[in-house]
Parts: sequence; structure tokens; C-alpha cells
Amino acid sequence: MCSVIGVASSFVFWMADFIPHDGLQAIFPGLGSLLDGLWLFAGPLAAIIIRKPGSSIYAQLLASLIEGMMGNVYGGALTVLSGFIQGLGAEVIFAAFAYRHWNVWITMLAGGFSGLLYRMVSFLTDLQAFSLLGLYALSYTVATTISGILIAGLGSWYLYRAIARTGALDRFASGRAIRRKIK
Amino acid sequence: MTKEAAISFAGWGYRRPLRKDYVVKGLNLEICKGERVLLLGSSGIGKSTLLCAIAGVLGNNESYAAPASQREDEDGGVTEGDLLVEGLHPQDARGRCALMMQDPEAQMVLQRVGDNVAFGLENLGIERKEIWRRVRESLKRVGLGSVELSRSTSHLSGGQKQRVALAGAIAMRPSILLLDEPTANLDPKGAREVSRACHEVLKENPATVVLVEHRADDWLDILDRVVILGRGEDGLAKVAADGSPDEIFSDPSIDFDSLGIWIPSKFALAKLQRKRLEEQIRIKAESDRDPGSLAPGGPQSLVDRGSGKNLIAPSVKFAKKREFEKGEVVLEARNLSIGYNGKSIADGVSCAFESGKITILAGENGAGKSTLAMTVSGLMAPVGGEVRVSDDLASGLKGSPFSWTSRQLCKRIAYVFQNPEHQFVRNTVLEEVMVGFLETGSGKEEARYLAHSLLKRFDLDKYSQANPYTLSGGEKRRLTVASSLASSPEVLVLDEPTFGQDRSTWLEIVMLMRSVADSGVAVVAVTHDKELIEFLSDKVVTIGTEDDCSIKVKGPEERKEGRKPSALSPILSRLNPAIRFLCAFLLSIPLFLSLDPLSAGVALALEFVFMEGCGISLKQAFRHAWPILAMAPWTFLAVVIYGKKGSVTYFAWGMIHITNKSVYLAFATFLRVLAIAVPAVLLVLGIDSTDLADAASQILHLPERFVYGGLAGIRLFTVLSDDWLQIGQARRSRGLGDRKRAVRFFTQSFSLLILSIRRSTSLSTAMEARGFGSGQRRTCARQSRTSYRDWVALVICAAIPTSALILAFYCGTFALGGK
Repeated sequence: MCSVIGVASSFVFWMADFIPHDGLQAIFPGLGSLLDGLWLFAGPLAAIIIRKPGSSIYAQLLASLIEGMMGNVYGGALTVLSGFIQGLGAEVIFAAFAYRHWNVWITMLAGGFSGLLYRMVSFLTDLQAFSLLGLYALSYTVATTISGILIAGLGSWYLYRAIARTGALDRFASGRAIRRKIK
Repeated sequence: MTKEAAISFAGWGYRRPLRKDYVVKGLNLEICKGERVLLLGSSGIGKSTLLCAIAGVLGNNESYAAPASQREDEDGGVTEGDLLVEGLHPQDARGRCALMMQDPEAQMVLQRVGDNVAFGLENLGIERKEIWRRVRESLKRVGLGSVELSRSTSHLSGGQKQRVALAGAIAMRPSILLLDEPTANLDPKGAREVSRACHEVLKENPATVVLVEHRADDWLDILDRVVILGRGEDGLAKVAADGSPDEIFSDPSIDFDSLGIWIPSKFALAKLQRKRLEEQIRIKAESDRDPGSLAPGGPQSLVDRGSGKNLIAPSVKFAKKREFEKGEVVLEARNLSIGYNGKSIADGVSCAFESGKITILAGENGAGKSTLAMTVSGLMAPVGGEVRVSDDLASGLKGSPFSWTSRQLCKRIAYVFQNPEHQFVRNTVLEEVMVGFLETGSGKEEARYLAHSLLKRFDLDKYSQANPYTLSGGEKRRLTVASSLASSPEVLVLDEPTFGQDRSTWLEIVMLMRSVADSGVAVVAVTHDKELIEFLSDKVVTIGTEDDCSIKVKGPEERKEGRKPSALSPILSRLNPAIRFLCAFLLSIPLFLSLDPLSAGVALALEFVFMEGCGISLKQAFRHAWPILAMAPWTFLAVVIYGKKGSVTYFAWGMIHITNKSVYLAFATFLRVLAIAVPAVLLVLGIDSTDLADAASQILHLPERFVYGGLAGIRLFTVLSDDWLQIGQARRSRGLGDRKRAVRFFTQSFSLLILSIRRSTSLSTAMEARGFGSGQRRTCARQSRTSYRDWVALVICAAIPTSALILAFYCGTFALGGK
């Protein structure tokens, strides 16, 4: 099940790879990154549905593995590493709440932290040419984090609720919780 | 005669998660070893539930140790009473039962045919040599002995897929074989193939068989017992009839009609049943034609019931929008070529569709029925020739339907997809139907009113606030027809409307089609359902490769398929996939240490030499790495204008500072992006996911559950690509295809997620039924090997960045993190 969220997400990631992200980025710093959350949602989404330790990392990793094998602009195999870091970011937050609390705020936090962690690591690796505390890096990081909070956090939460309403998640405690409420 | 019981239910019941009512309750049934039982009953009586229960795949980790009478499993289902399979709890007896389900797609766990058959054996922990012996033997048994083991399952027909599933089941040598409508989703030819294969398999096999199948004709001679399930007045499941096939099907006291059962044609009662059916359809048609009739379901009812006349704009009336002349040609294919991506599968196709008539496009699966239907309904581009529409239908539009906008199309031609879930676009049943009215210009209130009356007509009004996905199969189908009619099209195309439906739903759909046609709509149905053709068609167009078909298509090419190349060059493909990933990491990650043009440039040059040595030419490399080449200049630009500032400023404007350092760093970044990303792409392109999974579990020792769970998911990727296409087409036919690209992207992604979750549910059942995740130690049918080549590759890949970095260090350009 977790795999399937990963796979379906990878499809979305891969489609999203066609967005001229870096072009936008050059035009105005942070503009392209406002969409970064599109590549981050698999982790938080899997976690709030499955609610088991490790699901964030697993889903995000699998999604990026497939994305990488399909070939993309971000360097095949390396996509897997970013996937791991992104998944880790979300996982850490859910773990901090001992996998016991599941609500929109924590999910937004997880999405945001996933973005923040990933962007910070990226400044230590492929974006070394920018000064870490410069305006560019700052706006970039802030944009990714906001995008993570909104798209990967808030977005995943509403996505999860919408999916649960279709009855597709009745096998999961998370899905049943939503469906009971609306009855 | 007392025989040992193979399966025994005692007061057994099951309730699905979140449901109030039990699917099955208080069932007592015993099946003896070696019996061949046909299980019948109307839909919703819980036949599939029983099979899943016997196979031990109903809900995860049911806490059966608990003595309580009602036990809730991890998935939220509740079980009560007892069920023993060969004296064991079903979950402990998993290896003894093999389950074959109705959806061929869901049972293809892995990419290649051979691996699929081997999957169950691996889970049973069978030794490798024995696995392949049994795989070959089982494939031969089901008549697929000539198919290569490496053939991709996506290149098989439905009937072949089902036979692969059967081979996978019998290879496990089960003592109980459970067949859940194995031919329901197949065309007559596929169904024959599968039932013949089952006969062949069961000839000398002593296994107990439980079969669920609505149409028993093909199975009679292997069955020795028929059990009809019913529900008593107290709501408890009961055995309504039990006996030999001859006894049951000759017993006039059984109400086969209301049980949704087709009586096999060899019995005398079958003729009577058909007569009754004809009568029912005739009466229905007459009541529809009678203009004074206000019978629920009559096509006039929508118009007549309209209390506030002003609410119904003339353009959105459903029935009799104008005086139509029955038999007027509204849509016509003239010398049409149909096919995909500009490649034609049939040329010179000519046929016409007439108003008020039902035209059936018949033929085998995959012959091109749907392609033709989609091409004439403006969802696929014609490869050549012409799709002509009558002036009435065009009403001012020019060109073929494919050139119309989505909104123009939905008012004229509606297409109902085979899988209803492909075309749901809203969260409630009411809104789903309102879409059509809104898109054709009704106001919100008006649309609501009209949608309600339409739902009433389809007997769906009680669900108006429910989520479309939660309806039953038959209800979903009715809803898709209702929502397609909302935009009052003059042509309604239905793709396999009766696919996998039981007899009562079947009748419902048939009557629905009749009344839609009688209201003046040209109805086109794509189907291979014999009965549908017999009872309904005004005109049949057959499509196929045989000479007696009215439209002849080129047959699908029979292809021999070896293993696909798994890399850009033969040398690379000989490396272990896990090692290839490691190589990609080793090559690229160390380069992050320094940001300078020298180390990046040298590494890039060495990499190209290495690639050349591996047999990948520079040209090939650029061709496959073009996305990176396309992106790198942008990165260059970003660094030039926003990068770290140096001492000499060439240009400054707001945040933008072009300095000597930023240009230097941009140059370095540009080279490094290439040096890092190009090999990372080239090395892993083409890796076969099955091979990678084997390597991940055998070489890297990652947990099998995750690895193979993920692998099964990856196979869905190709299925999802098809889904994506169909969801897009469905939206176009519903008038939503003109929306902005971003909106389409998000809404389609949502539908895709739901679909994939559905697919995963049946996929995981199929995997569990093959013993996956049972906790037994697993063997692996394919060995993932490493050789000296892998180690050489690893050393080279480590040496390239290292030497580049050392060189940079000695030349003084080494810069940790770009200084």
C-alpha cells in the first residue's frame, strides 16, 4: 500500500519534472521553489494514511527511485538521495510526536521541515555557489519551506481526507476515522 | 458417505470495515475433500468474501487467538464463528489454498511471465531448481508452454494473463483451488481458453475446487455439486439449494431470475428464462414508448415532472429534444483509419450510427473496438479518413469531433468508460450529475433541480450526497450513464457496459440502454457480450481479424520477445544493478567536496573516457542526458546573477550582482552539474526493476517485504500511465477537458491516486494469496550475481573523482564548498 502511494506519487513527480523549475528560479529567486512541495508530498501523505514508522521515508524513497529510473533533469541515481533526505525530514516530525498525533498542523510541520531540510542540504551540495546566508539562499529556502508547508503539508492533509471519503482507505484506521466522522 | 471435510464453516460471519450489516452471517457449510463445487447466489451475497476467507486473505492479522465470538482484524473487519480449512485456521493454511481472482491485471505481480508463476513458489520457500521445473511444467499445463519466460505480462491478452495466474496457482500444488469468476472479465475466446486450461489442469488433479461463476455453461462437466447461497428472512446466510448440477438446474422451484443466475443452456429451464427476459425487455420498451406513461424510468418523466416550466431550458431537456426521425444517420466513419500514435491498426473503416437505434461494436478484446469507438467520438485522432457528422449533430461546428473543444463535444457525443472510476470528477453523486448541466449552460439552481430529476429516473436519488466511489458496481455504472446524459448528447457510446455484472444488473443496464435509444439518442455499445447482442442490437458491426467480420483489422503482431537490453551498452548491462547504483554514487558524490572548474572538468573528461570504454559514445551520452544539458544553462545563469560576490563587479541591479567570482563559480557549477548528473543518469538508465529488486534483497540485504512490495508497485506504473490517458479522455468527453492545464493536472492526479489505491488493494490480496508476507523464509527464483567486473567498475568509479580532486588540490584550485 505504502508502495502504491510511492508509485502514484512518482508519476506525479515525473510529470512535474517537466515544469521549467530552474528557469523560473533564475528569473526570480524563490519563484520556482514555490512549487517544490509537488516533489515532497509522498512522504507526508503516506505517513498520515499508513501511520507506521518509516512510511514517509519509504514512500518518498520509492517515488524518487522510480522518478530517477525514468530519467529526469536532476540526475537519475541522485534523485534517490534527495528522496531519502526529503522523506527523513517528514519522518523526523512524525517521530517527534511518537507517531501518535495526526492532525493538519503536524502534517504541515512535516511538509515544511521536509522542504527545509532538503533545501539546506542542497546548499551544502549542489548549490554551493551561493552564499549560505545571502538573500538568494534565504528566499530560496523560505520559498521551499512555504511550499512544503502548503503543498506537501496542507495539500496532503486535504488529499488524504478526500481519498478517505471515497472509501478507498477503509482498510486503514486513518481512513475509518474520517468516514466515521461524516456519518 | 462420510468424507473428510476440506472446508467447514460453522456459524461463520464477516462484516466489512465501517459497515453495519454483515456480508455473511451465521453460515454453515461443509465442503469435502476432492469435491468440485459451484457457488452461486445474487451479487452482494458474499461469494467472493467466502473465497477470500478460505484463502486466508480476508483482513490482516485477525486476532484469532482471542476467544471472543467477534474478532476485529487490523483492517477493521469483524469475523465471527468458525472456519476451518483442512482442520487449520485459514491463515495457517495459506500455502494449501490457491486463489484465482477475476481481474487479470491485479494478478500480475511481476513484470515477466516466468517470474509471476515463480512468485508463489518463492514464498513457499521452494528450492530454485525445483521452482523453474514447476514453472515450466505449469505453463505447459495451461497451454502457454510456447511463451517465453521473459515475455512481459503487459504484452499478454486477458485470457493469457488469466492462464498465467492459473499456472501460478497450480504450481504451488494446492490441495484447494479457489476460482473467483475466472472468466468474467474476458471475451468469449479468452473465456474458452481459460476454462479449457482449468479442465486440463483438473483432469488428474485431486484438488478440492470451489468455483464462483455466473455463467456455468463451460464448467458443467467438471462440477459435481452446486450450492446456491441465499439470505433467510432473519438476515442470516443460508444454503438455498444444494445438489448435483443436474438436480439444481432442473428444479423449477428455484427462482433463478431473482438470484441473478443464468441457467446453463443445456437445461430445459434455460429457454423459459430467456423467454421471460425477452418479455421483460419488451414490456419495458412499450411502457417507454407510451407517451402518456409516467412510469418511473420512462424517458418522458423528466420533462413531464418539471413543475416549474421555466426551470427547464429547451436546450437541456433530456428526452426528445426535437422530433427525431428514427434511423437518421448522425455519425459516420468514412474510409477511416484508426490506430495509436499515427500507426494504423485498421484502414478503410466505414460504418454509420443512427439516431434512436442501438448499434453494437462486437469483436474480440484488443481487436480495436474501443479504438474505433473513441475515434468516432472525438477522443482519439483519426489516423486517416473522415469522421462525418450530420448537420443536426454538428449544429454549426466544422470539422471532425476530434477538433471540437471538450465542451462542444460533451453536448453532442458522450462516452461512458468501461471503468466508471475513470470518469468520476466530483465528491458527491449529485455534483457528479450536475457537471453536465453546468457545462451546457444551466445555472446552479437549475442544474441542481435537473440533476435531482435525472437521479430519480436512475433510482439514484437516495445516494445524492454519497461519494460516487462508495456506490456498488451496478450503481456506479448507472451513475456514469446518468452523468453522461446530463449534457444531453445525441450520441451515447458505452464501452463494455455489462462487463462483469451479474444477471440483475445486466438486465437493469439493458433496459436503460433501450429507453435511452427510444428517446432518440444514437446508442453505441462496445461489447462482446453474446446476450447483449441477442436481446438488444438493432445493428451489429463486428471487428476482428477473421474474414466474416464487417470490419477487418490487422492482427496484433505475434512477437518473440527476449530480454530487453537493461543498459545503454552490453558492458554496462553485465554489471549488477545494485553495483550500478553504487557506481553512480561513487562517481558523483565525492565531487561535492570541491566547487572548482578544474576538478569538475577533469572528472567530466574522465567520465566520458570511461563511458567510451563501456561502449557509450559521446553522441549517445548527450542524447540520453539532454534534460541535464537543457537545465544546466539555467543553473549557470542563476549563479552568474545571484552567486557569491567577488571583488570586481561587472553589473549590479537590485538583487542581481554579476561579479568575477560569480562568473567563475557559475562556470564551475555548470561543469560540476554535468560531471555529477550525466553519469548518474547514464549508469542507471534501463535498469530492470525486477533485477534491481533481486539485487537489493540478495546483495544489499534489504528487507524482502519492502523490496518486493515496492517492486509489485512499480509494475503498476505502466498500468497507471494507461489510467492517466483514460482519465484525461474521460474528462474531455465530460466537457471538462478545456480547463487550465494546472487544474487538469491536479484533478487528474487525484483520480489517479484513488485508482492506484484500489488497484493496490486487489494486488496485495493477490500477493497474499500466493503466500507473500506469511513469515516463512522466502527463496529467490533468480540469482543476483556479482563478478570481478563489478569490482573493477567500482574501483574505476571511485578513482575518477578522487584523481580529479587530488589534481585540483595540487593545482591549488581545490575549494571546499566553493570557499
